[in-house]
Amino acid sequence: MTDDESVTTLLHQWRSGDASALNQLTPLVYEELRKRARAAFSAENAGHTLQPTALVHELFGRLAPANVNWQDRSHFYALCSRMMRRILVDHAKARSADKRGGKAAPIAVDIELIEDATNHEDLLSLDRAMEKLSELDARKAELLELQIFGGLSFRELEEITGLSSSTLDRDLRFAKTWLKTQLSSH
Amino acid sequence: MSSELWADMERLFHAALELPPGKRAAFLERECGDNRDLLDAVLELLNNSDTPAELDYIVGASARDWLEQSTLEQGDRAGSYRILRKIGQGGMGTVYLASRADDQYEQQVAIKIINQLAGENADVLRRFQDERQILANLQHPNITRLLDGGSLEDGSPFLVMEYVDGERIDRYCTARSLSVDAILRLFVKVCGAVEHAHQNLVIHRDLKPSNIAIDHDGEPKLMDFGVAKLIRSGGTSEDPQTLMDERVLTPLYASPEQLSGEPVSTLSDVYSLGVILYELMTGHRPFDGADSGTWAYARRVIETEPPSLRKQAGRPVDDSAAPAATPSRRRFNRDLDNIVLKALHRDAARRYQSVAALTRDIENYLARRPVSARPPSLPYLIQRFVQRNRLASVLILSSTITVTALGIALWQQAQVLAVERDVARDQLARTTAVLGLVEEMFTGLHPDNSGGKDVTVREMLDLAAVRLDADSAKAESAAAPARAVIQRIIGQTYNELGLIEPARQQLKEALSLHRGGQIRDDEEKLRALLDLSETYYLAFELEARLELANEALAFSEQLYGRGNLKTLEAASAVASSQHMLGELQQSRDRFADIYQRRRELQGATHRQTLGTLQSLGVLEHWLGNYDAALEDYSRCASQAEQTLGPSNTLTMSCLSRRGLVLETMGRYADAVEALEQHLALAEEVLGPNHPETLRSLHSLADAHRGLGQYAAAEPLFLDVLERRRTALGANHIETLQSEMKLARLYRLMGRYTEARPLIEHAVAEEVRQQGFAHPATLIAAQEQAELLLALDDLGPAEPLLKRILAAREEVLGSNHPELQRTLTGLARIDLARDKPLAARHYLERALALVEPHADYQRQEKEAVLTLLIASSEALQDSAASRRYRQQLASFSEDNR
Repeated sequence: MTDDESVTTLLHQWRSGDASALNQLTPLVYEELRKRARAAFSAENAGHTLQPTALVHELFGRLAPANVNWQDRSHFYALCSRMMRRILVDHAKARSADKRGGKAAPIAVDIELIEDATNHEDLLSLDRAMEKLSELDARKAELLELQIFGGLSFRELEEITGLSSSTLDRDLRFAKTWLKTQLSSH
Repeated sequence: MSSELWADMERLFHAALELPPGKRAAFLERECGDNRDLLDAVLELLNNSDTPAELDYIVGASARDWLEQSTLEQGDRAGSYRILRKIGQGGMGTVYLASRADDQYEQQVAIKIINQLAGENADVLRRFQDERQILANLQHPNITRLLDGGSLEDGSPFLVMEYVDGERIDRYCTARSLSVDAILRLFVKVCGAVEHAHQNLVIHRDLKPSNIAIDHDGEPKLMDFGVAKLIRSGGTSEDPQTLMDERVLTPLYASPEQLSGEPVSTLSDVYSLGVILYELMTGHRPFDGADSGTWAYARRVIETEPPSLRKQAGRPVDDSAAPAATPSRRRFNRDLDNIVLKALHRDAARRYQSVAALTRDIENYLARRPVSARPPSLPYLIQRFVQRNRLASVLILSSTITVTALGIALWQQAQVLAVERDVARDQLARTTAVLGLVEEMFTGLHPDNSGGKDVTVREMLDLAAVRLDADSAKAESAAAPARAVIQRIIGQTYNELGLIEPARQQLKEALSLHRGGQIRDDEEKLRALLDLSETYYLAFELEARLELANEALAFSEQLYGRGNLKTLEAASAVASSQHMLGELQQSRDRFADIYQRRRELQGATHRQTLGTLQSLGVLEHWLGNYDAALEDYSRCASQAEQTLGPSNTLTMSCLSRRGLVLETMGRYADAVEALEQHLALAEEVLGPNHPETLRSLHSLADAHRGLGQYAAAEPLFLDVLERRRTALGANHIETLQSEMKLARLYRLMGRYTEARPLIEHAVAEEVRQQGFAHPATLIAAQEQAELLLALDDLGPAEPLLKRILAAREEVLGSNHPELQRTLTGLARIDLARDKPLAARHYLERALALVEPHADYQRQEKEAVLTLLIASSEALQDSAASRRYRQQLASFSEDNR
């Protein structure tokens, strides 16, 4: 069984109510995201500009069965967005621990030093604020996850959530503004 | 937070957003009532509602960082190594920190893996193999070692290298606020590593701070020979493929030849080392700007000179969080500047010719020994300067010679000081200041800086003077010695250019620095005294000049003794002053004495000995000893031509004076020949308005007058008069002399009304400036009297001539040949007034004076004899009359 086939099967089982399917699906999605990332990275070297959150899109196009209904699409996007978030949070934690561990700035043996200009704490704060948001308003937290980590456009959000554009706009606006107040207060 | 509060927040947030911003606060106060928490929460939301979304940015940055790290993951295998994490990447490869998978060794290594896509490129693969070969050949404590190699499962090759857990050299230096010397000591080790590579025929070609790590022991490690090339025979590589390779370089540290795609040699590494050192010192790369890395940037690197460290040091460093000892606060010695700029020379041939040479100079600097790096050599600077001005006029060319002389003067001064540099600190300061000025003169005042037009020499000097002024405004008194030297030399050069006022200003300031007691430098003070006395000479301020010259003479005798060459120089200035003041006999005797001493000390053909010989000739000339003068000038001219060359100023000046004396002697044809020869040279070498040139032109005009070629003489006189008025001023003595000579010409041509204002102005001014009894004034007064005689205006002529006679007898003695004109003039008056006896008395004296010079005062002798015949006939002394007639006849016969 190829990865693609297993993903399709697991998705189907998951949609049929098999919660364990998600547990099996997760590492597959995770690995696929990594592979996609590596390919994207190489493509970038060939002169393309990479939009990191576009990975989720690419992944969906590659993994999702051709005839999925909107609920499956919605679930699958949610799954990918969640996965992306987890990958980045893990990564940020690891990198942040490196820094806190007081390791000397790594020295490049080739060409240029990795400029770890990324503020990993920002991502971790964002993650904590998202947690808090989902406690207060789970629906809004999911919307934001899809938009921020899944890279979905406003139109795609409309399509996937079935919400009216005005509702969607108000929800996103309020949720983002609240998140910003959370981040800026730290 | 309750869900009720959450819902209220959302409702009020959206409601408030509907309102104009000014009405929101009141609305919320009303709605929230006592619920301050709600009010505060909504107000905070409203405050954040307009700020740009940063959430996408946070996630994007994180995602990118993750992507860049995800080619191999922690735990992945590369041969027998296990990946720990990624530590670096670039266009070609990615570098991971790894350890032995079997944990046999604790040692961590760096694994360099070629990127997947890049790996499909055969060129990149080849380069990768090259690097492996190169690294295997290089064994040096400051070069990272190659430990192993292999390939991944997918075939991607990788290298295993010594891992240096350290810091980039630039951050290392900044973080520790290293002193200049500490940085240099570190840098010397880096140079050692590059030198080792060069000895193994490897050019690094991509030296930059990120390729130099400092390990925990403070040892630098040179890395990444990824684009290094084996040096082919001849030290350069011309393989077209190599040229393509250059394109992958980070251009910020690349040499001009790399940027312009020319063959690369070890000297390119010297250049990159220069850039690195420059950056370590100042915090900036030499050509940094907003456009760094662009084509315009590359053009600057290729086409312009980098600013010196000291200029760059003024720039703020971008990193506001930089530690206290920021590079921008460092002070740089000029030697260090020179070292860096030499390494950075855009012309590879003018760089250090090896890394070893660069290292030596840095070590010299560290040991406070003289360094080999100096501003570009003077011949080179002059060559460049002449090249810049090669299309310019002859005037520029001639001035170029003068400026070259200035450059040489400054240069020699600097060399003298450099030799004694360890003696005193102020001398060192002077050396550097003087060298700095030379450098600025020839390079700083580049046509680029003057809007593209040629910089004339005058502008160059003026700019140097202005710059000096500006510099000194902020300088402390410690700079006074350097300033005094530079001002003196600039003043001296203005002297040479005949620019009196700026010369006077510079030299007076220099001298006042010496007199102010800030400087103890007797030799310089002596020079300043003499140079300023020279300016007074040019300005014809004769008393002031004699006073300074006497001071210099006394000072020098006290310092060096009578027989010393410096004292002789001062004595010459005194003698010259005496000459100008009309103290001719004292002057002549002094020059004769100096001439003897110089012959003994320096030899008969030494330039200065010959110069003194010329001066002696001048005095003989003035004293009427024309034969002696001609002899002196001729000897001086021929010897100077032999030893110094035909276009040497002394040769030309002697030639000119030889023409002058021939003209005085009435040997006009010889004079014209000599003067025209001189003029041709002088116009070319000295320029058309140089006093020496004008003197010859003046004499040439007079020689034509003497030959009776009035039509040729007039335009020449008008020309020289105009040029002298422009170059020297309307009341300059030499301008007045031209007026006098032109007046004589007009008189001889019968154009008395044109002659009159010229001679009246000349005499009045000369009397005012140098007194009636001055020999030059007397000549002019004589001419005025001649005009009066020609106009039959005997009333004023007689007392004038008597006054001239008395003064001439007083100043020049009773045997000066010029005296015969005065005597003849008086005789004419007496004859006109029917006093033939008195007339004959004057005429007999005149004849006696003319006799010894009869060969060149032919006309005069004929005139005197004619008058004697007339006076004898008036006295009815037929015997005398007959005698004079015979004398005249035979004399005229002889001359036919």
